[in-house]
Amino acid sequence: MRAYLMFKEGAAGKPPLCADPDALMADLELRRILTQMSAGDDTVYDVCKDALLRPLQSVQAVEYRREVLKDALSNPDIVRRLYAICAAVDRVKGRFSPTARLAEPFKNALELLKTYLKMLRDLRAAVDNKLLNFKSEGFRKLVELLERELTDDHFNTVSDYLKEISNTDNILVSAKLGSHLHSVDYTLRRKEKGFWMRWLSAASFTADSERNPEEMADISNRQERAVSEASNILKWSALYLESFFNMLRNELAFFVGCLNLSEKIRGLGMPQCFPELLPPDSRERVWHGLYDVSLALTIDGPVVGNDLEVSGKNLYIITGANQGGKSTFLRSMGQAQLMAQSGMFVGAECFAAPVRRGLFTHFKREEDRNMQTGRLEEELSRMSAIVDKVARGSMVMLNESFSSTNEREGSEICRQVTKGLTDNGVEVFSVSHLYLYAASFLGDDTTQFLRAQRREDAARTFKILPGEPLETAYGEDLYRQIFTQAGRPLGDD
Amino acid sequence: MFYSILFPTREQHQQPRSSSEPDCFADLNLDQIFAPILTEDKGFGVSVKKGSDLESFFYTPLQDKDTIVYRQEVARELEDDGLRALIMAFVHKIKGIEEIVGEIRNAITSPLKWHDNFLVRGRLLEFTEKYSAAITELAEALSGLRLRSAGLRGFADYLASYIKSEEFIEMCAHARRLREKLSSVEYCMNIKFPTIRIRRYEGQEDLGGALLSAFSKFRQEDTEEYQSGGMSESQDYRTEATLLNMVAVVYEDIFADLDSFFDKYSGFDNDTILRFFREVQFYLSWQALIAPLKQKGLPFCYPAICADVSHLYSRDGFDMALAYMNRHKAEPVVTNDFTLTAPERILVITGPNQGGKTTFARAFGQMHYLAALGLCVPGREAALYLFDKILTHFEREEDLSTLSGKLQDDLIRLRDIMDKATERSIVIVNEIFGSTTFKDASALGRRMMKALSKLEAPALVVTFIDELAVFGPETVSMMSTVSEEDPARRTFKILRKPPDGLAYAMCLATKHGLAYEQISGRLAQ
Repeated sequence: MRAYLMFKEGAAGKPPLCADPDALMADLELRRILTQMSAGDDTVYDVCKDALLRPLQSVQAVEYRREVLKDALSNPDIVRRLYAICAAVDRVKGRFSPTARLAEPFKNALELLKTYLKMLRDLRAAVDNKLLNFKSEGFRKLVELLERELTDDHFNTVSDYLKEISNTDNILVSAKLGSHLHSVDYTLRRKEKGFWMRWLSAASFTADSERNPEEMADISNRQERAVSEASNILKWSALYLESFFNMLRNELAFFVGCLNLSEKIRGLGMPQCFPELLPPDSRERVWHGLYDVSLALTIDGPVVGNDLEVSGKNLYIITGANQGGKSTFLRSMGQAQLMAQSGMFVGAECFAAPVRRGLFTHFKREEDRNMQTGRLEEELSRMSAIVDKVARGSMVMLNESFSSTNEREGSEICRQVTKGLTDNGVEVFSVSHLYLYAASFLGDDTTQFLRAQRREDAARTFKILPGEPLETAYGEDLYRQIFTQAGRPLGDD
Repeated sequence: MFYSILFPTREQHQQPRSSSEPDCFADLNLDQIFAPILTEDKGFGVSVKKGSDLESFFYTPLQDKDTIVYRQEVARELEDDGLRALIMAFVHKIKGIEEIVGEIRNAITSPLKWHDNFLVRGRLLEFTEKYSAAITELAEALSGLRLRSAGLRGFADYLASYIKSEEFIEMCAHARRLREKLSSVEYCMNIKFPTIRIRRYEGQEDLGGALLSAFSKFRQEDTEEYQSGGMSESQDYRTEATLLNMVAVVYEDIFADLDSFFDKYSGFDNDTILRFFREVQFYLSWQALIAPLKQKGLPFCYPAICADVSHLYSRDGFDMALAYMNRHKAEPVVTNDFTLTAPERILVITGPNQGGKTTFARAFGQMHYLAALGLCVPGREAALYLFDKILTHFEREEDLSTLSGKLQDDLIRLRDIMDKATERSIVIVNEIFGSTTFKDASALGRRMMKALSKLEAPALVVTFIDELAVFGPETVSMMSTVSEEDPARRTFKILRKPPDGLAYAMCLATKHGLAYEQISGRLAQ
């Protein structure tokens, strides 16, 4: 019994996890986005994280989930209500945990199961609503499932069994002979018709409390064990239900996360759109107003977006001013790719991109304190780990790669790596200030050059526009800016 | 007649054995090597533990070549995965049987009458079944193999005639008949404290099953399925016996047959087979220990055992303790060779520190020790010395606190070694005289070398004093080396070459970036 909100074919449709999730989380600043989506709910966080880091591999899979998301966006209350019922599992389980009421494990197990049954009834009631307006296959299947399985008949049968198992003072158990003839395979049995008459004449043994306290203890122990097996059966029944609630919770969590994020973005006055996904072999990309969602959430306000329409490119080299928005641009592109392939809306007015097999990031690691291997060696080994896992149809983002050595060496290594990737069907976005590297691709018509802009007053616009690499860097800008702000002009050196 | 899988004859088996670690154990890190077998529970699935009577076999290097070869043949044969799996399966099945048989015998001879009850009889039946099944299975499997080693062949023959004996065949048949009848028994208990009633089971419906099936449709694939909470465990033994008596009344004939089985077969076990069960674990535990190393591609071999020093050698040997410690690491284990061809007898190792000298010394000692246990040793190929003892002098950490007394201590220990050593001993001296002046050290070192030369036994000396490496025709000079491209990097290769103190100095300079090329490279920036 399962829901099919995330995948048409259930968990079998789950695509593989991106190769280095930790790097993606850090490099694309996904944490902030996920925190917003989760609104403090760990399950929502984990499920959304998993969805983002498992990019769907076909346009159909994306569209299937997107239809479910559209339903959620137009029925937010019912989706949140269903989620809340399932999410109560944690709280309920805690209330009846063995430590909460140590004295009465049987009663505990019984009460827990009864509470779960109540939650099942709530689920049934929640979808018993004439105003439901679900159009997607995923949500329609779910409603159908709840209506079919949660019938009154089922609830009645279950309550008969519960009554019988509650009679713990008169128990019937069957047993067989084990390997050394000890009793095994104890099974609780329902008492047959005419039970008492038939059993009157049975061989019996009554413990004698005075002569032999061990015997008393044993029989009481056998009774306890039978009751504890009854608790065990109740516990397992509850576990089955719990697994169902958790399954449903996990299926709903992603859409609750999307609701939370969508509402927040709208509140910030920033655009969101459902992207157009192109087949994997397409070399077209369109973006208008593409912005870094995580940055917008951080400054809690609008941020600058970028625009471009290109085709026939598989390498994007981004150069230009320091702190000109290059990393931000890379992040916005990476976020949009992952969000698009998880069936979400993206942070843009308009976005079209090919489906990508996987996403890899190779960002400069300034904070890396582990200098034992040396920076370049560290960069090389990280790149080699990417090359180990990258496959045709993937997308790799380089951010200031191989800048830990001199420009000539760095450029040559970076050029060879980049060319090795693009010539083998991998799309590359590369931010670099290595001029020799960038210039080596001049005149190649599958390369799109982009440049972080600078206005005459030296203030950054944070716009990334088409433009070939310039041979000067903008470090001087930064220098001037910092010294000016500090009230300490350059001096006259 | 077969007696033991560790010794060709009963007499050899009864020679005295050492019950504690030999002196060289700690210095050679043999304690680390055997720790997973003797002290840790590494899940080797065998019961060689400290305190078990198997322990002494690991502490007693053999001095007679026949027994070593007897063991080598068995061990080599047991390298076959199929055969080993067979024996391992047997060991698992027989495990614990000795204790159980003891308990059964105690119960029936107990002065308390109720101790002898149907549960005890049931237990005997159970272990008769396990034991005969394990033995039959092994005997049949072994009979289909062409065994080469005298030990395993002897055991297989023994087993083959054992299972053909009339008594064994009759016992198996009786057990089978009896078990069939017993497993048809199923009864119901009605528990109404403090009374239990017993009747035959008559098809009453499973209550828990009914409830679970009403909920099973909710179970998700990744959620486990119901497991019984184990209702029938840890009962009061005596009450269980009483209830079983009630069941025995309901099923009278079956339990009478159980009585007659018990009377006939209460002494079903066989000493020779149980001895094999214990002793074969000597080999199995070693194979399990080295399995991860072999998997990593490290070579092991059965060395030729030499009674004289005319030609000793090893190819691609390594420190087993270090290799085991690093067994999960990707980097390859460095292997080394040595050769001693008469008149050479003494290996003298010099070269950069942390270059693998001590490791080499340990490996040298370890392979000799392991060879004398009859086990395979690290290396592709080897010819090793049949020694009476291994005498070692390694710097001990606790010595550092009493630095002043250290030279004295060194000398006392050296004297002890020389006192004990015979021409059949192996002497390993690692970094001696480090606490005194170079002049002192080299003078004392020369004295030591002279003594070792006279001894006519193989020896290995690790030293920082170059001249000891060219002491005489007995000495072979070997050096720890550094990489040619990157002098700061140790290769851990110990090569046969003349001592070269300069290389060591250059290595230090390189480590600090002060070699000529490095300096010019820096200045060029």
